[in-house]
Amino acid sequence: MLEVHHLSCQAGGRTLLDAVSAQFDKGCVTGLLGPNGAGKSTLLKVTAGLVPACAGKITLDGHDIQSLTTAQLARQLAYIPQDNPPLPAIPVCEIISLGRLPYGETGSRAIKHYAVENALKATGLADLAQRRADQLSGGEKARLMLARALATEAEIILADEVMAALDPAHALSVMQILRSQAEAGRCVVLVIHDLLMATRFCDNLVLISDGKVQASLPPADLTDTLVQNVYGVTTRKIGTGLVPWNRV
Amino acid sequence: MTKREVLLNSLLCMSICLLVMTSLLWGEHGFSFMQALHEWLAGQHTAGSVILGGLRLPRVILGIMVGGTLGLSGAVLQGYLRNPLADPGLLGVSGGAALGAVCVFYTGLSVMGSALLPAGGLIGAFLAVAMLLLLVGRGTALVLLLAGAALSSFTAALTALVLNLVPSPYASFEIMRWLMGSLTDRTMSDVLLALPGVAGGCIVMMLSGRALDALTLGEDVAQTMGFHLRGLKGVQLRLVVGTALAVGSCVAVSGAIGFVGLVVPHLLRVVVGYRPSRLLLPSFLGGAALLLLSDLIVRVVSGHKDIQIGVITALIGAPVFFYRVLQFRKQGQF
Repeated sequence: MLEVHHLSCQAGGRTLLDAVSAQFDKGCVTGLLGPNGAGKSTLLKVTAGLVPACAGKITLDGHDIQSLTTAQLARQLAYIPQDNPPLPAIPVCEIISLGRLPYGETGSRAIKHYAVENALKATGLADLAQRRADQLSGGEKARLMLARALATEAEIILADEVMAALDPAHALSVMQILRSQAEAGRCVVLVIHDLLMATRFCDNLVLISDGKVQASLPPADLTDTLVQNVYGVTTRKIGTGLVPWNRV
Repeated sequence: MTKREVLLNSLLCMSICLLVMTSLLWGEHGFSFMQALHEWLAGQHTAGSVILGGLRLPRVILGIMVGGTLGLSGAVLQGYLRNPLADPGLLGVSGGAALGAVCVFYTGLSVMGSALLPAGGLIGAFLAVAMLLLLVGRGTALVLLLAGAALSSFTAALTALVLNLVPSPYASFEIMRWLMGSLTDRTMSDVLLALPGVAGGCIVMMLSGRALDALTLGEDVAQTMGFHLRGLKGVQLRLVVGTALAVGSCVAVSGAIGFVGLVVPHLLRVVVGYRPSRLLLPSFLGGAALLLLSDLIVRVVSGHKDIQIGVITALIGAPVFFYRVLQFRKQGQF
């Protein structure tokens, strides 16, 4: 179980996270919801060790992650950033095999590793294994970055807006992959803006605004009032999910 | 290593061996190679042993060291900065080494001992590295790029100033000649002076392959995969120091030789692909082969006219680079 305890973070005199505490269980998909600039991506970056926290601590199965070496943490935690750099003209299978770097595995040994083959299958990229990464579509690139994270076999997957700019089919595909990873026992934490997808695929939702956790709840408990408080929009219920309707 | 890489590296090694043998054997003064080698190893001062051990061998060894370093550092910097235009001159260290050597010329110290010129180059390179590291601090690769560009411009301006102030036209000509790079009249002392920096720097660069591979996915992903980028243990510091050490040592003894670091990685990507780690060894070998070939052309073509090796590397490199630019445009890669 991944937990953050009273995590605070400041940059340029601005408070990005203010004593944030949350719990992310294994076997669950946790969605981080909140408006732009709320601190969701910062929370993921601090958890991934990319941004230093001013205060608080992060524990993994009860142990402070500060006690882990960089290599140990890299094997436990895979991070998928919001903005991916332009990918080089390297075959898809080689990009995925980079996920084995935390284990010191490179070259053909890494490419032939079962985790890489499993990641190719899980993300539906097996047919594109030899295609150059720079020639993939946006949706295929999103699945590729996910596959690279899966190849690490990390217990925790931190995904920052992986569905941004994806069409519904690709977005659905990415969410289904993440869901299946959680069902396989992994802890998946993702920043998500699509309320319908969040309520359908997440087990828990953590609502963040102004660097503070406003609520932590199962999707069924997400109400119009909470969404109004966090996003400043009214909602309509469609099926079991909420859809943003009007600005307040 | 794939079969293609093994084949390429073998071909490059064979080319280097061929070029080394041609460089050692070809020349105006013929001699028995084996006899000259025995005499040189025995410490005898015959014409053959002096030409082989005192003139041609240092030139060949420096060709491999300098060409290899420039090719390797080009591949490393293009990989680290993810910029296809990066080359060893970009960090400003070459400029620092050139300025140091030019100051030795200017002050007249160069006539007091042959080792003073490369020593001045080395001091210039180290001062440039120190300034670069102070400027960059814990900054990103972009800060490194900008700091390098600023330092290059600064050292180039100071070098031009020294050229303007130099009192004798002969000294001015010597400086210009040195700045264009050359392997002519270098001795084993030059080899020994550059060797520690080149060996240390190249080992550091060769060991950076995994980090460079991880960086193809961006700095954030590379860091979460266990690679420290900044700080005392960071990849950036190791690469800057390694590159500066090797390139600074080379420029100190051979002058600034352009185009090798820029062109060689581009040429070899056609064969080994775009994975940075796969480019390191071939770039070292390719750089060495290109510089040995250029030096051989200098010796064959120039005759009694003094053509600088930097001119030949640019004349070989530029058309090849033009061709690659057209290929990139056709493939829509930039």
